[in-house]
Amino acid sequence: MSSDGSGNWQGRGFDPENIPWQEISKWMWLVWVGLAVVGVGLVGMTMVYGIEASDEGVVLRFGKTHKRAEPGLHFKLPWPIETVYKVPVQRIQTLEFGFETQRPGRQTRYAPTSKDDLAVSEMLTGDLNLGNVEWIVQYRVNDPEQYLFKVGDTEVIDRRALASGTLSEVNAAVPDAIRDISESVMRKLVGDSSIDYVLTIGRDKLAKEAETMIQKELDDFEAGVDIITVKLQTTSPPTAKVQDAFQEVNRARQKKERVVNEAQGERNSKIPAARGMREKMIAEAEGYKNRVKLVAAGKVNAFLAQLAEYEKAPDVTRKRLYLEAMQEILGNVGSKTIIDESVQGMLPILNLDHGSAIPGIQQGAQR
Amino acid sequence: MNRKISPNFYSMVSASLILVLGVVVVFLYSSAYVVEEGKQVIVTQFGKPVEGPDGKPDVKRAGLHFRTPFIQEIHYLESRLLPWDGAPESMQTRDKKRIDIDVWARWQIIDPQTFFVKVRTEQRGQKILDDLVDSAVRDVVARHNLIDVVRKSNEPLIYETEELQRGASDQVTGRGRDGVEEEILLGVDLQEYGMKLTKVRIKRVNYVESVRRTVYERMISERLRIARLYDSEAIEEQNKILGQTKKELDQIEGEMEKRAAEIRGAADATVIQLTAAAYGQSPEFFEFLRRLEMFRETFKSDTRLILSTDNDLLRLLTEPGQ
Repeated sequence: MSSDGSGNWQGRGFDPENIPWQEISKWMWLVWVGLAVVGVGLVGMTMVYGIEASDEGVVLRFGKTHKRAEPGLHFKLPWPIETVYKVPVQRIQTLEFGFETQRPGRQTRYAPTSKDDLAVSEMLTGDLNLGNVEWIVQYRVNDPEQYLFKVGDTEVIDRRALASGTLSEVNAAVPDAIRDISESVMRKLVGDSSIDYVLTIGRDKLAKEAETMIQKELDDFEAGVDIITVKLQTTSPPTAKVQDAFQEVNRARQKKERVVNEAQGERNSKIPAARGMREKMIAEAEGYKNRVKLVAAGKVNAFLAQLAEYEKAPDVTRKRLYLEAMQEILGNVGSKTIIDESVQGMLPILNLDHGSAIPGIQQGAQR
Repeated sequence: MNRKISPNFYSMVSASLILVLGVVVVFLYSSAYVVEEGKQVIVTQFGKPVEGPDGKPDVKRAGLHFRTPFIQEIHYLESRLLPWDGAPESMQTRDKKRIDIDVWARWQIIDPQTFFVKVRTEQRGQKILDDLVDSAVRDVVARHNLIDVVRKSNEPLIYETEELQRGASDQVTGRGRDGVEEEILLGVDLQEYGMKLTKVRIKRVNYVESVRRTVYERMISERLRIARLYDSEAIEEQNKILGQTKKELDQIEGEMEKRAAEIRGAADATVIQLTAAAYGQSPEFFEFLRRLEMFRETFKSDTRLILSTDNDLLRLLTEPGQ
């Protein structure tokens, strides 16, 4: 390989007087440079760091908070002087209470309700009833320093994962605290409400109140977290049987409404019709009144007119009227029997029901 | 000679430099230490906590610190808020209700030296809380009625329907749940351990299993009572409306008949009055005309008339020429 270096060395190597210090110091120089390069490289690596868009960095100098780092590429003093923690400040995280999402997606799957979930969701209400309340809490880190250094855990934290920021939860003690606080706050609110308030009418208000109360407690903790929203999910009576009883009330209420509506409907269909009938009958009576008055007036007028003429020649008029009337009447009568006054005992054989019983007479009469 | 020694000398120097550097590094490494935020350090010398210049225990906070190597030892302790979560415990309230209660707390090491001497690790601190908080919870719960543990005020409860509104139910004494939590907090004295309980909260309260079932039954019967009430109210309303309807119908029809009769009666009266006035002028002529009229109406084609020749009308039949 190299004929100069190794050859020279070996050539003079046997003579202790001739130890090639010059050669070695040349080598030493190389070693120094090599060490320096490696050293600088290693130190340099700990001097560059990147912060992702969703994160914020907290730079510690000798363990003390020194500054914050926005997303991007940054330089810092080498380890062990400065270290950096990356905290996901933009990421919105969700905690679920009383249920568990197994696989979110277009059709999100939920894990079957476990005994643990039930223990979380079953609560005593203010009227000492029981209800199941499921809810979610969404939060975001708003102060990375507080988030990192105010709330702790007795369990050992994985510092490496913490520094690399690969964990979605850098400080697992914080979500634990939010869990504890959320449960106690929700129970406190439900414990001061009626079962009806929890199940139906008060849901929105409960969530709002829970949000402010949880935030207040977290601020006491200095957890460095913002509660974004608290939403009630399912709120239900504790068992299927109780649920049925609640349904029964709804059913009865709706039935009541229906029955009342039907009765109202019946009333509405009858009363106006009756009023119409009343108007009709009254109008008819009015019509009758007008008619009989007119008729009477006509008759009266006719009579008065006749009377006026009659009084001029009463006897002859009276006779004429009588005879005219008789002519008309006898002309109209269908069956006439004229009996000579000398005929006696005629009546007994007369069949009053059937004029045809005495054909001879009948025929004569009809002619 | 000189030419031979000088490179030797340089390498000797660099070798000793490495040595010195190494010693310095080792010394620094075993002497300097960094305390991070959220931690505190207690320094001991031969197992005994070191006192600071002011005679107070020397507690190191976040930053760079030094110690005497090999003699002094450092012990990291948490300065952050630490969690404690008890196991659910079954206990009895003052009004003899058996409940399961689950409590959490947060605590802090406020006097690291005392803590280090008496407790030493956070895990053992938890153990102390297990015992103390649990007994405090029992004491406080035993002094209160169940309603105090559940509610936090005497605000009237809001219901969907009036029927469910209860009369004066159990009243909360004092501040209810908030008060109970505070009493528990005050009931735990951790000063001698160098610890401080900053918060105690009731996480879960529930009846024990067997009571829960009777609660379900009560809820069911309560609801069914309301349902029955609605059912009978439905019939009540229905009958009210139908009865009212009938009443109004009768009223309307009565008015109808009354008015019609009145109008017709008035009309008839007018007719009587008119005719009486006119016919009164000659009752005899009126009767004559009326009779003729009557005959006209009475004798029709189906009338059988038997006349005697003796009759005035037929007089000429038998007496010609007269």
